[in-house]
Amino acid sequence: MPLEGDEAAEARYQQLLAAGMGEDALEGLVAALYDVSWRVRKLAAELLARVDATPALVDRLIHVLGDRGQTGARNAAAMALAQLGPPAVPSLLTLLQHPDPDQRKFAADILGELRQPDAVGELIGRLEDPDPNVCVAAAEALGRIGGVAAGRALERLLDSKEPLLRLCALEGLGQLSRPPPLPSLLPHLEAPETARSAWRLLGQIAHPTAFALLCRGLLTPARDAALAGLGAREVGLAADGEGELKVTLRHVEQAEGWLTQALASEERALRHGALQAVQAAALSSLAVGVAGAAEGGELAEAALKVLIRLGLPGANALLAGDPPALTSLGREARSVAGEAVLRAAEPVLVPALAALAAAGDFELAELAARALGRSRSEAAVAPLAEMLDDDLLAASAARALVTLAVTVPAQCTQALLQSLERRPRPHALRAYAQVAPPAEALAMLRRCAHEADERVRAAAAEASATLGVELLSTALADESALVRRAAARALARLAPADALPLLRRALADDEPAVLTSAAVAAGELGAKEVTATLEALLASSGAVALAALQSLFQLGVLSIGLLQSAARHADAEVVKAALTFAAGSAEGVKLAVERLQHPRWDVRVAAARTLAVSGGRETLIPLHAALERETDALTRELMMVSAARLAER
Amino acid sequence: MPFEEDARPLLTAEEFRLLKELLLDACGLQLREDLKYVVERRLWPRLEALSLRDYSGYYRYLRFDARAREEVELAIELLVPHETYFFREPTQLGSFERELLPRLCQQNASSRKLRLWSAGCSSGEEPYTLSMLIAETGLFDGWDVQIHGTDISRRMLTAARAAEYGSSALRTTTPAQLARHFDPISAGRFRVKAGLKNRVSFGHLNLLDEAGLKLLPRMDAIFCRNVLIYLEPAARRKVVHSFWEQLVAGGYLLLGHSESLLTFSTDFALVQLTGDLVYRRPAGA
Ligand SMILES: C[S@@+](CC[C@H](N)C(=O)[O-])C[C@H]1O[C@@H](n2cnc3c(N)ncnc32)[C@H](O)[C@@H]1O
Repeated sequence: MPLEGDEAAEARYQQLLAAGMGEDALEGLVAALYDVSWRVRKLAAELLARVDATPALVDRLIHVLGDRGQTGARNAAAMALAQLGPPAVPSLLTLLQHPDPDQRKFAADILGELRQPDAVGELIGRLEDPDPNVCVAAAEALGRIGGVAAGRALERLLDSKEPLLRLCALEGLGQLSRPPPLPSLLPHLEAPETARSAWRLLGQIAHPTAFALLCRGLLTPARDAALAGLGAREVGLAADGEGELKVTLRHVEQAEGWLTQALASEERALRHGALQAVQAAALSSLAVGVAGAAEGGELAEAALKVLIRLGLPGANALLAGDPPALTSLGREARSVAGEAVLRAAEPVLVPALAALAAAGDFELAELAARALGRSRSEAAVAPLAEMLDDDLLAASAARALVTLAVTVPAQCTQALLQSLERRPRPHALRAYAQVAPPAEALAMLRRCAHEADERVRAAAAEASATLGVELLSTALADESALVRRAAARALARLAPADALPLLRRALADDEPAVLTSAAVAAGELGAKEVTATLEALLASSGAVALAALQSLFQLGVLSIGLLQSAARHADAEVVKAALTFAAGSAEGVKLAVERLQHPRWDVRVAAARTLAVSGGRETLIPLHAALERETDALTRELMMVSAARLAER
Repeated sequence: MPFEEDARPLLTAEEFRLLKELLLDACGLQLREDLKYVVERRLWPRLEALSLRDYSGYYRYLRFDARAREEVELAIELLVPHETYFFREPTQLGSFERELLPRLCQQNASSRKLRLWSAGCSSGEEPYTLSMLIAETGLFDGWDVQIHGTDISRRMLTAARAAEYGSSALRTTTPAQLARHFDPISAGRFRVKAGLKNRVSFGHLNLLDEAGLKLLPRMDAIFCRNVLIYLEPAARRKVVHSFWEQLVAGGYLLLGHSESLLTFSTDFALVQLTGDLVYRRPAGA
């Protein structure tokens, strides 16, 4: 049953929400900062932060900050001020000088949260505050705001007599990635209060001595901190560094157990350090832990790199056991483990991969299929053949058999044939057509061209250029668009003279998917005879127009007039393709300059790229103008690359 | 020799942005900037399967190919988390069982009908859990009870229909619950008992697809847990609005513990239960 108090609080909450944020609501909101329920206070703070930040409002909130004994209200007011932004700054700077240390601390906290560079000077002054809490708040704020002056001040603070302040200084410098000179850091590695932060900061110093110290640290009781220091390094392990680390780890007691724990730590730097250690010592038995460190995604690439280095023994460890060890991992870790297994696929892994395929998890079975395909082992054929009969896995298995057929063609062909004889399926058919001897493939395709399942007929048509004109012509008249599309795509593999009448027919289809395939085929066939039809298709919707444009380019018949109309197309992909094909002509450059104003960000990027390859230096002017206008960060960044390239010429 | 020659292609910032925009449009999915490598790795097998050289090609496939719809669904499936298990968030479920189900029993006493919806049901653990809770209360014996599970992932729905589960799905299921609600099928694997399974039905639904939503009945309670967090704010708002439309007056909406409607105003009333905050479409609305 709901508690009485909760219901009342709920009513106040709803009331506040309903009152909104008008002028007259202001008093109510300020009053609500004093509410006994934190939810109401929080809502009031959030709503206040959205009110016009007048000096009067800032003063009211600052006044609340001064209300001793009202902790809840003060915190809520601080939250609102932090969200108000720049308008609150002048009053907060004044507040830094308030006689009440609590208020000075609030001011420092909020200024840090606002990351106000203007506040740095005043905050540095507060590092000498008689009240240690204010000093700490000021140091933390400086660590957030950053800049040269803040960094220097924090460095000076390393000499403070207060351990807490030294700690703040180290943390702040770490946050700013601004390690102090090595000699001033060394004393802090020893002191228990500061060791953790100091070791981590040491990792930010890119110097062989720092690295050597970190290695030595692994042999001390502060080894977790030293490992996290290794993990704080931005750069990867250089070859000599790896050697040094490897030698060090030989002397670490029970390294495996310790690193296993570190790999599972909540602390990113520690996990990262452990990854480097595992790589250096080539501890393939820890592969599962390494993959586990990828969970959450942050360290996924780093973990993958280590797993790849661990190679076959690592892959073996991931696949060991029943159920295979990697089934116990979370999704991200599994995907990393999966890629590592795939890259290490060797004949000896086949039994383990077959077991993985049967472990009952779809994604893992799919992975097993891919890896079996790469194993270059005859033993992989049987498990793949079994998967061909599973509707969900058939596609992966068929593809894998095509890959495997490079090594063991006869067995793969046989497996596909048997599966098709049990029941024709599109993927197996496509694969069979690729690997079987031509005459046998032909016989099978003929048979399958009459199957009731349209997907099988489509697969037959697609693979059946060798079947000749007659069957493709039948397929182009199929009632299923899927089959006609597949046939249109296969036209490109006929002799041009045979293909032309069929191509004309396909280009008159009323299904966009068929038209698209036909347009692509026209380009591949070099069929200049259908130029007029392709030109007309430029006015169609995205997919068809794009295919027509590409073919016209391939045929070498793309006039500037056509390019201009393509560059006006409603679909951004068509416009982008037009810009690509326009590179190289003076008119194309003009088109690109105009497209710098296009509403789509990706078109503007493509236009800039065209200028980078074909514009003269004079086009730098419109490009710079476009950069001036550009408000989207990524677009700006990509356009700058083009501008730089253009300027170099 | 490992297969060095076909190492994973690089996903450029531009391609990532295009894919993000496309998926946002398709299902409201919000891909965080720091997930670039995750996206690159998860979609790589698709590039391979479709013989595409790079992610631009994949983007064009998703936009233009005749099979684009299917492929977009596949991509979503690969990128959206599906993590779920039986009896997830027990405090909330306890409140539902002890406080909401009795209320619903009263509310619907005359019709003797109960409609629940697990929106974003993944592999089915959540709707089956609801079926089990209903059985535990004993309040609805002889009623017409229907639980709908919907998801955008067809693969998850296939698994849901099979109703067979292993240790990961059962991680917080007690031995007693296991004995009451499941039949063992092999070592470590269990199937949901037929009686509980029969009143759960599954369907494919993109929560942003309004026409699809219309096919569902009005609900007495909607569970949508750990789905909205992956959606972009506008999509979230749209989905919550659909839930409102889909609920009977007096019906309840239950969200995951890290999700709330507080950041945008809605007409839902907040109801404080002992173990949970839930939302209610007010009786007169
Ligand atoms: C993490 S699972 C949550 C499962 C379950 N509700 C729970 O809390 O345990 C999220 C599910 O939401 C589904 N989903 C995500 N976006 C969706 C959308 N736009 N429409 C329908 N389902 C969606 C995903 O496919 C996934 O299965």
